[in-house]
Amino acid sequence: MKLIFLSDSVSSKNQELDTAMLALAGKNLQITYIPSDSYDSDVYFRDFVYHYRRLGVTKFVHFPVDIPTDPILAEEALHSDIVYLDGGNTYYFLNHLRRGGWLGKLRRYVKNGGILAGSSAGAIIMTANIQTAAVPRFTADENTVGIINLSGLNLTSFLFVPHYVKSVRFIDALQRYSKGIASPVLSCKDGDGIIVNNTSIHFVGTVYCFHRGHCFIIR
Amino acid sequence: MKRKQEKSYTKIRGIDGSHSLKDLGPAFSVEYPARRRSGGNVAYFNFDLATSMGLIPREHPQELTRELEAALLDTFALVIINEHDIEHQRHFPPEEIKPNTYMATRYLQPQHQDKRGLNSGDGRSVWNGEITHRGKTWDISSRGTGATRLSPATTKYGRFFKTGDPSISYGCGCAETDEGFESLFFSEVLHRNGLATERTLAIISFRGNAAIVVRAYPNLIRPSHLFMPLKQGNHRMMTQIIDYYIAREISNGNYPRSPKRRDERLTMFLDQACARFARATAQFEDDYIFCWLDWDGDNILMDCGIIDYGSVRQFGLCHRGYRFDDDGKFSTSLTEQRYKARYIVQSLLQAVAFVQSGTKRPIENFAHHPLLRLFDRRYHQHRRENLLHKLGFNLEQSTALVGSAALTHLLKHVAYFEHAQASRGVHKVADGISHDAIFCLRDILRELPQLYLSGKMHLSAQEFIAIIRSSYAKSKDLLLNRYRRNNINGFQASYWKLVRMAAKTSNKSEQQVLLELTMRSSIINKADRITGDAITVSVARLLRGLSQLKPRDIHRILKRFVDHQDLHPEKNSPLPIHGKDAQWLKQFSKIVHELREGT
Repeated sequence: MKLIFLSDSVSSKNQELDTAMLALAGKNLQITYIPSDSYDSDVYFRDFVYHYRRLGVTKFVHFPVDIPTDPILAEEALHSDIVYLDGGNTYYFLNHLRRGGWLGKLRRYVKNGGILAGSSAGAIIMTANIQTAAVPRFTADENTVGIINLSGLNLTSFLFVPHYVKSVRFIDALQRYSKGIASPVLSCKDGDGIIVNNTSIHFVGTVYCFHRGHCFIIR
Repeated sequence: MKRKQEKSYTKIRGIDGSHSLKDLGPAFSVEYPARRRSGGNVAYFNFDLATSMGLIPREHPQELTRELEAALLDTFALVIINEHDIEHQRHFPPEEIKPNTYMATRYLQPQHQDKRGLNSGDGRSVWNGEITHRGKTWDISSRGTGATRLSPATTKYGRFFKTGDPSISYGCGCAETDEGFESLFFSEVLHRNGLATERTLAIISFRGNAAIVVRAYPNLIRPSHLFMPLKQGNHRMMTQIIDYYIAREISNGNYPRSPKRRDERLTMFLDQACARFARATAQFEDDYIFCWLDWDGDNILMDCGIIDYGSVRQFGLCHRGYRFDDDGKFSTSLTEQRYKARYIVQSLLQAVAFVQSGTKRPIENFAHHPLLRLFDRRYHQHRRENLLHKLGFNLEQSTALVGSAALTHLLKHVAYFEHAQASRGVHKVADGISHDAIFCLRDILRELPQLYLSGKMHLSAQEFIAIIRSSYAKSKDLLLNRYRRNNINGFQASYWKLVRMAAKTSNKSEQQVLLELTMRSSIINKADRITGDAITVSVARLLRGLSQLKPRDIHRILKRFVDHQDLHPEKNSPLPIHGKDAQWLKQFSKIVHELREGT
């Protein structure tokens, strides 16, 4: 299982994570870009291509899941070496992934050796559930679609909170949240992230682990 | 002192009906006294347009202050005192009467019985004035300001109508809030995408959905303003109006030079008109913009700018079978607009010859004029350029590819798919008739480079059809006969040839070229591009919530909507949308997506 957790969307800050992600895939690779929302995704896709083209990637598939798309592109989307779930509204994204039957397809894709990367909302969805989209409250996503089933792809034993900020109320909010759940909650600031490569886990930058009300720093 | 002047909005208040076209005399316009119309409020003000016109300073906040609203209402909330008012001896308090008169211009409208433009023209609008800022003069006119004697109703029934007369809809002199917002949304999107178009400066709404819609453009003269004296065979008037038009174009810097001799000016005038009509009609056809372009040049401006959005549509597909039904008279179709534009140029040739010789020669005498052959060449050249742009090639690559045989072949295959129509045949739609297109070119142009890049060097016929089919296509429309297979294969072969040629000329690999096409065409061929239907439904939704929105909110939401519909591949990345704006924009997006293949 190969998973990349990014806190931030396409950014020059992600250089180390990008390099590691591309190294996992090998040469002449293809990336499928799945935006959280088709709104303006044509421009975000262009920026995504600009960014990864500089790193030597030459093949891309743009595949929004919240609008009908043709089966040819859908098939091609899962033939890519990397599938990248972008950031946005986590609830909206999960809702459309589920409605389109993409959760199962992505799990199979990962099981068959595909590399799944997620940034922000995309990374949250890769975990067991997306409750952390509402943590801390002051940066919470709005559940605009009113979904109740918050189960994610369940590919990891930890939960994830992107956009870590070194502030008392942020840390306090995560500590309080972690008290009530069994799984550790990992969080990192933009530019940092986590790489899961089968049985090994590699942390890029500083990753903070919140567990049962305590905070640990992982380097 | 300067601050005080800005506060009182002297430039806005200076728009008082004065206009240089009045100097040409009553043959070109009817002047009306006007009075203030109370009970209005400014539902929308275009801060950006007002800034570019110099009506408000650049640093003016995008906020409708009390002073600004007062200036806009004092200036534009007016109703003419028309012939019906005078006939019925209506008296108005002197303090309500505006100091100047406002003109309704005369132009040819062949649906009027006299067929010569003697009693046709602005039927429900007047020109508020003109304003010059940084070397450019803008015309400002308002619709919904009262029934004029030039409306079709007056001609048809032989009497004058009271403004707002409920017994007559087309001719009562009123405009409606929803049509104002539809024009606003539509024109701002088309303007952003590089089309010449009238723009909405302000919408003043009144009780009962009534509105005054204020519009602006650097030159509001239509071909039909010129065709009126041409039809009447009036040499003096013909000369006057052409001279007037050319002088404005020169002063606005729209002509490359400013010749002193009239013959040279007229030659330049014709060349410019030919160039603009050829370019615009090619763009209309390629962007599926239907604006009921007809020979009389009533629904278009002299520079082929779009005016009067009531009959303007943007189709999601090439619905060339659509015709608007205007009281039993069917409009021209999308692909016929080119011939009407060509005929307008032919009529302009006739007009210029009339000015030069003093004799009006039959229009047929100009049917083989070299300028019309130039029109055809330019039109075809623009269509080639437009297709290269839609494919995603950049300017440098397009310049190298535009004369290629591969592009000629691709154009034929594109025409085959764009022109294919549903087996259902011609059928009635809400406002006319249509014969549905069954293929969506934008979808295949957006997805093809991605699929080629991923290693699919050739799509099978079934795969190709699965991508390009529209929701109008039924299974029997999609049968794969030999001719269709040949077009699918030919399309792909020509596409690949262009990619290889572009790679060679720009010293890049085919993969690099395909990657650039992928990036550019995903924006150019955006899946959810607006259609006329989408604008109508979005505006209806907006109006239901209008009471909760201030003009600055509408201005901000509109700007984001226009950003979203901007199809320039190099445009800046959008900022994320939040809160109420996001709710509105997502609703619009959903509507646009649902109606993306309509008319």
